[in-house]
Amino acid sequence: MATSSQHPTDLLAAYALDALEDAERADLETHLAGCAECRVEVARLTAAVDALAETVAPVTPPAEVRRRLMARVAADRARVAPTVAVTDPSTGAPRARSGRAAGPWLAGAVSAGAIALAVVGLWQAVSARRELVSVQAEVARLRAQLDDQSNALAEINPEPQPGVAAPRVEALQGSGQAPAVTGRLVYQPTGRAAIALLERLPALQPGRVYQLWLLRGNTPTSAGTFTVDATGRATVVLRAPERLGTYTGIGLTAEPAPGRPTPTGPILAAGSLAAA
Amino acid sequence: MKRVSSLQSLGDDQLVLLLRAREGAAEGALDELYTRHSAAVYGLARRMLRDERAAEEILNETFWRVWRHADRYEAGRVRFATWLLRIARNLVVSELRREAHRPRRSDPRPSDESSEGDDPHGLPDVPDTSPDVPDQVWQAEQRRALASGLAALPAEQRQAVELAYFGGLTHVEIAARQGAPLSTVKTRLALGLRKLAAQLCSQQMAPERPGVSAAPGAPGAPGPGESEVWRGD
Repeated sequence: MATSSQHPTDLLAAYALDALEDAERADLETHLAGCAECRVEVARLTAAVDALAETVAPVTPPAEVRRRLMARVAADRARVAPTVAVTDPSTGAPRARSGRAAGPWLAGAVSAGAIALAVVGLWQAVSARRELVSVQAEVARLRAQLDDQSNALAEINPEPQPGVAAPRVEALQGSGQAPAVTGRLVYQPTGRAAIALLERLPALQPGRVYQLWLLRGNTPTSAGTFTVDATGRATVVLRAPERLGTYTGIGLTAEPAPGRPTPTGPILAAGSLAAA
Repeated sequence: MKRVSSLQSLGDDQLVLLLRAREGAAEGALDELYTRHSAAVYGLARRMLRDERAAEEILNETFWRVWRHADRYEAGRVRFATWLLRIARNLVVSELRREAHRPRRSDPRPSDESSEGDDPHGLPDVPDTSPDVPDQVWQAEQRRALASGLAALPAEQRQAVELAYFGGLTHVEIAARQGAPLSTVKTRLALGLRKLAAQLCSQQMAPERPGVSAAPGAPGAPGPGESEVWRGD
């Protein structure tokens, strides 16, 4: 080892431990950039520092932390790559049946979901293990989505009780730009959660997402983005900043990912919302 | 459950790849990594912060960063566990240094002056309930050897190293705490850490398991250390 007059050997341990003051660290990093000998020593000492973490006995954390983490991840996922039309019959169907107006549409989504899950199951049976892992995790992801949708549905369409209205269903109709698009928006005018069920959506160009807008007069508010798979169907959970009854309409555009604060593309589909 | 056993058969590096690909398996991969490593992260954070709630926040934030920044992990350079614990420790140190500007909730202390003198780690050991696989036997053995190496250091050296690593103190702060000249603290840190490094080399117990770092040029492939038979099904 060279002497400290040439190499700052007495600082390398503190550096490896991140125990230098900022100015010292900057000086040392300047030295390290040009000194392989000290870099080797720092790597050796860093291995010892890393090992210190493993002198601590593991402690099993409360289960709640995992739930919070996975909820945060699911929310991130939903924001980045939202929803496909899959609903789990075991939980979706009973709720769907309790809604009069929404019933047929939701039942349709449910049966589509049942088919999708069956297809997934078939795929599992014939796939290699690596694919199996992927598919099973996809099911887990879809189940997380389902939870989100079920929660929204429970808000929109609670068990019948005095003072709670049945959910409203408004139609979305494709514009001249995308005449085939059809859809329904299911919501409570007094609530903020809604579910949009859309069909025959054209495939998106790469780098673009669909974006839903709630309209109040001519003022649009983003209601979330989503992508669509080859089926052209999407089930999208919307969370409005204010009560849905205060909006007058809903519109759909295609925007550059990850979405825009105000619409830039032509309206592809639109519908009106009745006042509360 | 089938899902669990399938993901369990993958090594950490393979799980990181799944996570990074953001395909359908990403959440499952994160969940499996959490199952394997959350106890180590939580143990470290509790040891450093001496506050369960704060440690839970660190644990959450650590795995959140894994989720967001998995692309920064370079398989083959360090073990995933090492990378993960560095993230956790950096988060805790940032927190401790932020708190240092406010009245302290509780000062980090080296173990020999802790009021919790019955336990060298300052907190009671809680049995680790994660699956008993040979990797954990290896880690437990390593932990025991390193802990005894740390305990074998002269008291001032060990205290200085612990104040730096677990307490997040700079060497200037350690000098104030130990009532020693800065030059002395520098020497204590250097001697203490060098002895630990030498012990790692002599026992071949460096945190990089032999073989893992010998897989250069194949970032997509699982490191040999990550797919050994003990993970097989």
